[in-house]
Amino acid sequence: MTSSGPLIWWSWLQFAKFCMLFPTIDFALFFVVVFVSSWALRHQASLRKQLLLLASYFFYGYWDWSFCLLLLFNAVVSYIGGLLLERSESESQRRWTLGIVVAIDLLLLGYFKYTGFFFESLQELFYSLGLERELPILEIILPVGISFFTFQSISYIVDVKNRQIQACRSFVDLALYISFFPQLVAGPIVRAAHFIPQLDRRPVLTRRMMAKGLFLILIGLFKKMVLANYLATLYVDEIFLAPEFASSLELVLAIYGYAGQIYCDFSGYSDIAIGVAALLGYHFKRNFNQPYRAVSLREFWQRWHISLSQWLRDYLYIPLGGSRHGTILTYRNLFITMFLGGIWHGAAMTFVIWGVIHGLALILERVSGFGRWTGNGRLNRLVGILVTFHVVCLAWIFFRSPSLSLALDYLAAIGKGTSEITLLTPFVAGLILLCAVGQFVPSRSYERCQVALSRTGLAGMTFFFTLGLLFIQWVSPSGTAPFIYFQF
Amino acid sequence: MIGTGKKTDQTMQHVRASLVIFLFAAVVLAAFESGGLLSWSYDLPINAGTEQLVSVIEKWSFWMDELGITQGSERIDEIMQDVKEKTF
Repeated sequence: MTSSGPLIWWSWLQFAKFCMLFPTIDFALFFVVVFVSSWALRHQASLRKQLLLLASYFFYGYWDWSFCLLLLFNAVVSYIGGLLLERSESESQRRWTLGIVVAIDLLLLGYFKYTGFFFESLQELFYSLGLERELPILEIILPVGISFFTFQSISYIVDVKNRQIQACRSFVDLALYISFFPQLVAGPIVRAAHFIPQLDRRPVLTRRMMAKGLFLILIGLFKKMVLANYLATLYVDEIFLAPEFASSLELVLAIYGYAGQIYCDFSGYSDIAIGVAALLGYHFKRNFNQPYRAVSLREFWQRWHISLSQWLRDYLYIPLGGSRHGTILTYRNLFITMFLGGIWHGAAMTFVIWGVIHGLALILERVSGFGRWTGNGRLNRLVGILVTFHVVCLAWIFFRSPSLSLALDYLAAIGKGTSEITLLTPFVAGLILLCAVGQFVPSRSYERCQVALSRTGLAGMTFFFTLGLLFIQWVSPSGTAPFIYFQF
Repeated sequence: MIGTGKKTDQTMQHVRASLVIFLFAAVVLAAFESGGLLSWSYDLPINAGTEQLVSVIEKWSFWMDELGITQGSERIDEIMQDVKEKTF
């Protein structure tokens, strides 16, 4: 297997140049216009939804308007599929309809995500067989967020098929559910049963929601613009560029840094998305919950990218049989789920290994009873946290590395046991420490901060929000790097 | 409402309050970070409208410099540079 990484990176960088990233003036202007106009239409539900739909397509089309057609196609297929499912009485017909809609969704996802990789692999195979065939070079640009809106469409159609929700009668409602701009490009993956009913209620903005929105935007910007950007530019990127020049100690510290960076980057995006939605009057569930304090890998997946973990559980693991058919099949289902979760990240051997490590570690955890053991006593908990964190870090090495050989070189270099410090500075060490401390502050700290902020009144909220933005702007590095998960 | 046990819907009050917060934050950021605003304006596509906007932002930025408002930002940049360059 070769890596189609360069194509992904190219596509990602193009997006960074033209897209509407959250921490930019473009997005701020866009959001203020949407905020004012959507609340002005508060009493006209239908117009408000149309406005939000238009805004979401504008947000997506800001990068390349032609991809709005893909989004529209996805919504049309899901809409028709949902209505057909609801009208059909025969179970076999319902199964066929579901199969066709899911196949269309997956084919589109597969085309954009894996075609380049397929041709690269085929070309390599020809070379290895001594057949020098020039295959067409396809420059397929990966539409940003395609995985996320595809997953939302699939969850909608499966829920309609299982009669957990009714098919959406309004095309605008369904299209808005699939394309709502705060979560469109990097999640959280929202369920139709949770979001669509909110569209029919008159939106409300309480002082608490206001405080929640402002707080989450601030904390998300701080995580992304300060912590993630500094960790990436000052340390992690440099170490991964040439791991052969770093000592074993620095390689280990760099992977701790990457663990912090990817957490701050991704959870920062989720925080801003949830905050923006709250200011528009919609509630999204939390997507990250201090994942590195997990005492087992099972718990890690209940805290990391919660909406994806639950999606994989409900639409892959459980349909495969879950834990209903004995131990061996449970292990098989766990492995398949994590393996496919790895491939979902991209067509590269590094992502496959990432999924395999998580799959095998989850199985091993069950076989050994490690998860139960770590539940008893403080020392066991501490061991559980350390072991889980290091398994996750091991998998991050493959996830971050641009190629499998570089990941293996990285691991081999760690094994040398050298300890010179050349790149690590007190500032970077402080950032890593800050990320670690954030994992162990009391749970529900976010909620407490939001309540405290809401109690400060208009003057207090204005003061803290402005000061927070100014502080972030002052201390963050210049430029805005795209969010890591945009590439998936 | 008092005496009825029902809470008054204060949504539009909160919307206005949020807008005040956004606008205040925008003005403060534009004042203290006028350099960033200027860089953003230089990246806008060139047309008659944006040329006028760029000229207004240039004047604003110059004015902020004159008033010494951007000095805080420059001082923090220097402090951050010092902190980043410290070694073990």
